[in-house]
Amino acid sequence: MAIAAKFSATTASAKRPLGITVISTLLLVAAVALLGITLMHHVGGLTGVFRLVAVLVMVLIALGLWKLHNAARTFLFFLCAADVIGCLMALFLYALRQSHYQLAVFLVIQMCIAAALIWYLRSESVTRAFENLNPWPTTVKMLVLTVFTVLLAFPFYWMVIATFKQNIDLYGMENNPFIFNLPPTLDNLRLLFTQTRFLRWLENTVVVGVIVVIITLLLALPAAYALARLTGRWGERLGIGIFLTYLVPPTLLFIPLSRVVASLGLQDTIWSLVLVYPSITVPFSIWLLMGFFKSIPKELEDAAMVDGLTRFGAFIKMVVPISLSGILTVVIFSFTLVMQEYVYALTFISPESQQMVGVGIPIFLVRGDVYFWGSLMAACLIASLPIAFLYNLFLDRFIAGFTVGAVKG
Amino acid sequence: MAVGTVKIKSAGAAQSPMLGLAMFSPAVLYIGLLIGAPFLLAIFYAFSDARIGGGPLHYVGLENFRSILQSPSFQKALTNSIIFTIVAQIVVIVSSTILAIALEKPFRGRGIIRFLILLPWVAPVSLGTIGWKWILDSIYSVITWVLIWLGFVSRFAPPMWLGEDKLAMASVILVFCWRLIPFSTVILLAGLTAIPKEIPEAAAIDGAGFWRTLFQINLPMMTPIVGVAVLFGTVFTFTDLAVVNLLTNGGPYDSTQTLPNLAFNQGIQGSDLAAGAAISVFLIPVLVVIAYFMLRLAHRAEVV
Repeated sequence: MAIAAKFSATTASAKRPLGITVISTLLLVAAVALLGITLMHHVGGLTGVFRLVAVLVMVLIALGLWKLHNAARTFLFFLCAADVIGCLMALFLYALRQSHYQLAVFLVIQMCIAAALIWYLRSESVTRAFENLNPWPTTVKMLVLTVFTVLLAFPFYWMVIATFKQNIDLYGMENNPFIFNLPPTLDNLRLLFTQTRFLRWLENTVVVGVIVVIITLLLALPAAYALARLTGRWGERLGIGIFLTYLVPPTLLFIPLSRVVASLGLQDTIWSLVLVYPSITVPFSIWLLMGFFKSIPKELEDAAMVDGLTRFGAFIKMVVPISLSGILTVVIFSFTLVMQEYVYALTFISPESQQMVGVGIPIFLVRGDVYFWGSLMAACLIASLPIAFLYNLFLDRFIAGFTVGAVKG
Repeated sequence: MAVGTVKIKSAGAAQSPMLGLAMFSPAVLYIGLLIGAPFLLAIFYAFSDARIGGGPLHYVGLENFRSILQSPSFQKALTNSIIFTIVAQIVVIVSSTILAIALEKPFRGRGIIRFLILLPWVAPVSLGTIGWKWILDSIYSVITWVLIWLGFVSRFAPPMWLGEDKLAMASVILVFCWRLIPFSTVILLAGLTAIPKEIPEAAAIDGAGFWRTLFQINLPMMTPIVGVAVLFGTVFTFTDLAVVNLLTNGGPYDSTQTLPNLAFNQGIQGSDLAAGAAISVFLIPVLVVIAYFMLRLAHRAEVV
C-alpha cells in the first residue's frame, strides 16, 4: 500500500490541477480579507480570537493545497463534510421548523457549495494529483472522533463555563448558556476557597492518599516479587486469585466493614479509610507489579547474589531500583483510586471536616436544597484535572494490567 | 520463552520457599482480613438481625430474604440493575469499538484527543456525576435550553430529566455509558494495536477493502479483548453506587433504584444492616459468573 502510494507520487509528479490552484488562491484571499476586517473593526475578546484562528486555518489549508499535501486536502474535505451535516441539521431542526426561510435558503446554498467541493476534491484528476489517496476513511474517522470527543468532554467544558460565570449569568434563563453573557468572574472560586471546607477536604485526601500509597507499596512490592519469582507454579494461581479479589466491589463489603470500623473506634475519622483503602489498591498493584517483575531478567539478581547479597538484599538493592517506573505506576494508580472512591468515604465518615473531596464536594457544597453550582463545578474541575493528567501519563501500563494477559503487548 | 520462564520459576521455588512465604503472607493476610472476612460477614449478616450500633447478633434464617423479596423496591432495584447493566454494555461496546478503530492509527493531536476522551473515566465518578446533575438540572438544564431554542419543547412544560420515570432511567444509563466508553475504548485500543500488522496488510494486498478487513479480520481478532471490556464494564456498572446515589438517589419512586443504592439506603441510612447485606448479597451471583469468565480468559492467555 505504502509502496504503491510512493510509486504513484513519483509518476504523477507535482502537476497541480487548475481547480486546486483556484481554491487555494480563493482561500488565501478570503483569509486576508477576514484578517483585514477583524483588525479594522477592532474585534476583541473571544470572537476576535476565533476569527484569528479561522484565518490561520484557512492560510494553512491554502498553502497545503498549493503544495499538494494530502493532509490539507483531507482536512478541507472533512470541513466540507462536517459543514454539510451541520447545514442539514440546522435546516431540518431549526430553519424549516421555525419557518425561517431566509436562513433556509442560505443554508441550502452553503450546503451546495460544500457538496460541490466534496465532489471536486474526490474527482479523478484531483485524486491523481494527491497520490491516489482516498480522503473518505480519514474524514469518517475525524467525524467520529469529533462527535465522541465533544460528547465525552462536554461536561468538563460545562464545568469550566460554570466556574467562571457570574451567578446572574449562570441562572439567567434567557441567556445563551454556551457563552459568557457577562464578563467572567473569580467569585465562585473565591467562595470555594474561603467559605467552604474545600481545602480541608483536599488536605484529607492527600494525607489519606499518601499513607495508602505507602501501605500499598509495603504490602504489594514483596508479595508481587514473591509471586513472580519465588513460589513456582502455584504462585501464578495465587496471583490470579488475588487479581480476582479486585472484582469484589466495595458495595458488597461496605455494610460489614461499617460495623468493623465502628467497633475499632475509627468511625468518622480518615483513619478508617487508611485502613480500608489498601484492600482496593493492593490486589491490582500486586497484579501490575507481578507482570513487571517477570519482565526483569533473573540473571540480574543471580549476579548480585553471587556478589554476596542475600535474595532479599538483591530484591531491595537491584530489583526495586530498576522497577521504579512500575512502582510509579502503582503510586499513581493507588492515589487515583483514593481520589475516586465514593462508597467507603460516604459510609464511614459523616462530619464535614473529615470528608474526602469525592464525597465532600457533592454532599456538603449543597446548603439545604440550594446547590452552589458555580463553586461546585469549580471544585469538580480542580479535583479532576490533576488526576486526569497523571493517569494519562501511565495509561498504557494500567491497561496492561486490566487486559489480564488477553493481549500480548 | 515459555520453557525459559518455567525453568526460572522452578529454580526460584527450589531456592527459597520460606522467603517467598514471608514476602507474600502480609499482603495475603491483609486481603484475607479486609476482603475475605467482610465477604463472609456480608453473607452471615444477611441471615442475621444486625443493626447499626452493635448488640448481639441472632440467626434469623431466611427472614431477611423473605421480606426483601416481597418489597416492590427490591424487585424494581433488581430489574433496574440488570437493565442498566445490559443496555449500558451494549451501547458502550458499540461506541467504543467505533471509537477505538478511529483512534487506532497515530495522527497529530492524538494525545490531546485521547486526554479529552479519557476525562470521564479518570475524573472521580462522584464529581463527573455532579457535573451531569447540573447538565440535567430541572430548571437550568442546557439540554432543555437547546430544545426550547429549537422549538421542540415548550418553555412552560420543560422535561424533568431526573424527575420522570423513563427520562430518569435514560439519564442514569447515559451517565453510565459516558463514564465507561473511555475505559472500554482504551482497552479495545490495546487489543487492536496488538493484532499483528502483517495480517491486515496481507488482506489488503489480497484486495480486501477497509470494511472487509474490519469485519473479517480486525473484529474477530478483537473478541477476547471485547470480552475483557464487557466483564469489567459489567462489574463497574452493576456494582456502582455513586451514579445513582448522587443523580437520583433511586427516585422518582424507585424508578431508578439499583441494588447497591437500595443496600445503602436500607443498610446504612435505615440502620438495618441485615437487610442491606441481604440486598448486596444479590450482587454475588453476577460476580461469580464474571470471575469464571475472567479465569477462562486468563487461562487461555496462558496456554496460547
